[in-house]
Amino acid sequence: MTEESKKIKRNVGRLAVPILLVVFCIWYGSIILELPQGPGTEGPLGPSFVPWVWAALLVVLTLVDIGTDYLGKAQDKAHVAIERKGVFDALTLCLMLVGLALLMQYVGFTAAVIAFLAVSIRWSGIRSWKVILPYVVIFALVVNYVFHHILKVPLPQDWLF
Amino acid sequence: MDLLVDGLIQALAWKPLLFAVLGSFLGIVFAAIPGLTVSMGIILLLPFTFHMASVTSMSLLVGVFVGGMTGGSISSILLNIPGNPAAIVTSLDGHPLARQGRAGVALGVAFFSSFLGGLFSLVCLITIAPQLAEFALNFGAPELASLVLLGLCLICGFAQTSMSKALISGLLGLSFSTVGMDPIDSIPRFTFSVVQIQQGVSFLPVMIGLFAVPEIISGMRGSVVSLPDFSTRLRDLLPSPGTLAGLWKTLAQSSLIGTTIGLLPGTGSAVAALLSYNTAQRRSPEPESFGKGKLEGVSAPEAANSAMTGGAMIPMLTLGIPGDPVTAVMLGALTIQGLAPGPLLFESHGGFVFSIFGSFFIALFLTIVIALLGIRLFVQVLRVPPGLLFPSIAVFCVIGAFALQNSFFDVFLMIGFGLLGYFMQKFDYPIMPLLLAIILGPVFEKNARMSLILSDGDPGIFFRKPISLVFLALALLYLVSVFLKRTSFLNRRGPA
Repeated sequence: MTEESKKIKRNVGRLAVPILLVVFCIWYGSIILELPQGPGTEGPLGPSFVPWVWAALLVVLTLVDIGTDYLGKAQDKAHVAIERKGVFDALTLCLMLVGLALLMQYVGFTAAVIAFLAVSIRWSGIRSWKVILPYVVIFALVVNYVFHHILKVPLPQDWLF
Repeated sequence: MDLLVDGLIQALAWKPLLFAVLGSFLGIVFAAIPGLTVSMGIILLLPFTFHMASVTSMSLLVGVFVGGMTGGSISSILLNIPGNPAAIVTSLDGHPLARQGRAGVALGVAFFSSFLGGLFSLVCLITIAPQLAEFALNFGAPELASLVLLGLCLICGFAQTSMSKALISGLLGLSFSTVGMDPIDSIPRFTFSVVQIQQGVSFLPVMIGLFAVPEIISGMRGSVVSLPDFSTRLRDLLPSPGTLAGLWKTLAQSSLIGTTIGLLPGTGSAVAALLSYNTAQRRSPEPESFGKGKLEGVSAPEAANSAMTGGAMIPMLTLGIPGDPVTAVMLGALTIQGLAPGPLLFESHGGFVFSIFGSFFIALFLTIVIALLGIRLFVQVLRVPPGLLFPSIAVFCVIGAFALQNSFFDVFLMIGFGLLGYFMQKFDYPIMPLLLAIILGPVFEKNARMSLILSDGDPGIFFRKPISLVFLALALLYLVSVFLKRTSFLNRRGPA
């Protein structure tokens, strides 16, 4: 990667969060505009009063953040570049958790946890199925028993229970 | 005194006692394993306290809190990997001691220092908290609004690299806190017709997401650690009376520093540990021997980070302002139990508050006993591969988020906030201000708007009330001092 492209990437990285924050403020502000007023609280003290204050302060601070990043001492410049692998890991884990939540609704807790743990443990670096399989089966059964039968947490159940 | 004895008796009933044992044990485990934190432990246990009596649930959580402050030293000393931020300083002298074959002595001194520091802070908690709560009974809506504003300004204390980032994180939290029914007119805001957020964003899934998910992401690909050999026999762990007597000065000053730091929201146990270590080093006749395996270097940070626990509980219980992540979670736990921390808690549930003090006292004793007797087990726990541990914790996170309302919406909320927390950490936006703001935001909004409605929209009401004025002045003073401190720090560092 050339120095110029590195610089562009750094600048894009540094601007990404403030831009996202400004977009959030605009979206948040547009909803505030549509909020109804409460009875007897017309004017500045209605339900939109406090959200307006937070939105305005958020815009000001985002501008301050951009300002200090570009014009000030710029202490944080090194921190904006995050590793692609880290982002991939974060998204993969979150997708696996979404999969676990969805699967639990269809196949029940035990089967979903066995599937989730088997995939995630293998993904995290442990390759031996001899270690993974007994662990995930025992873990899922014990956790289901403790939470569902002892602590009475209504976990989605399947044919196993 | 009667209340204190009653509190102790309540905490000594078999159920609270059993859960205090479990809490202290789990607190040590969570703090000992690098990557897991005391806050995460409390958050994961919180959903299972819903159906417990309030005394039992607080016994469990206080046990985790107290146990956690002791457990961090185990991995710090044995592995040179601090189990939590508070134990970073402990590794400076603790690990050199372990390398010299004196791991047992270092662990023993750490456990006893934690115990004595915690005991000192408990005495302060029992003496100061009721007085402060009685004074706070005079507060009306303007005073409460100003107090919460002061609490929100203390968010700057969590700034790691940039004050504006800490404030942005706080303002994001405040924006999230406006989701749900408006506290005055009960008009739904930002709910998008989603029933699950009509009462606001659920605190628990947000907490699990923000604290646990980023740790799981970071910890999953870790490797198994190797441990030094040392004797885990009780007699090799117990420090001699002479050793402890030689440390009394360090213990006294560190306990005082820890409790004082705990009183100041936003500072945290890591600051307490560092400050007490520096003080011990400065006052030592052999400052050059610090960092090479000195017992004072283990004793000072451990006493201070344990003493911080009692100090941090003072503003949480009396004013409803959490001092650190753990007390923020405990504040949430009390709210879930239908108890509102603040001055009224002492008046309406005085017995319950004193049972917390009783649980604290019991947890201190249990922790040192469990730590000394169970050290062999805790060492084995450190050997569990992260590849097995973290996915299992992810399952507990899902159960925890689900258990609050038996709703998968909360699970998805947790995952969403987990991703947000991960990226916030990566971009150096501290998470704690966001969480504090979600807790304090509705309280501020309700009291600020009530004050303004009472005064027909005149903001002068906040300045005419003397207590409110003092809080506002303190907030301003704090902001200016943080700004000046950071400016002078940056000037010293020079341009990047």
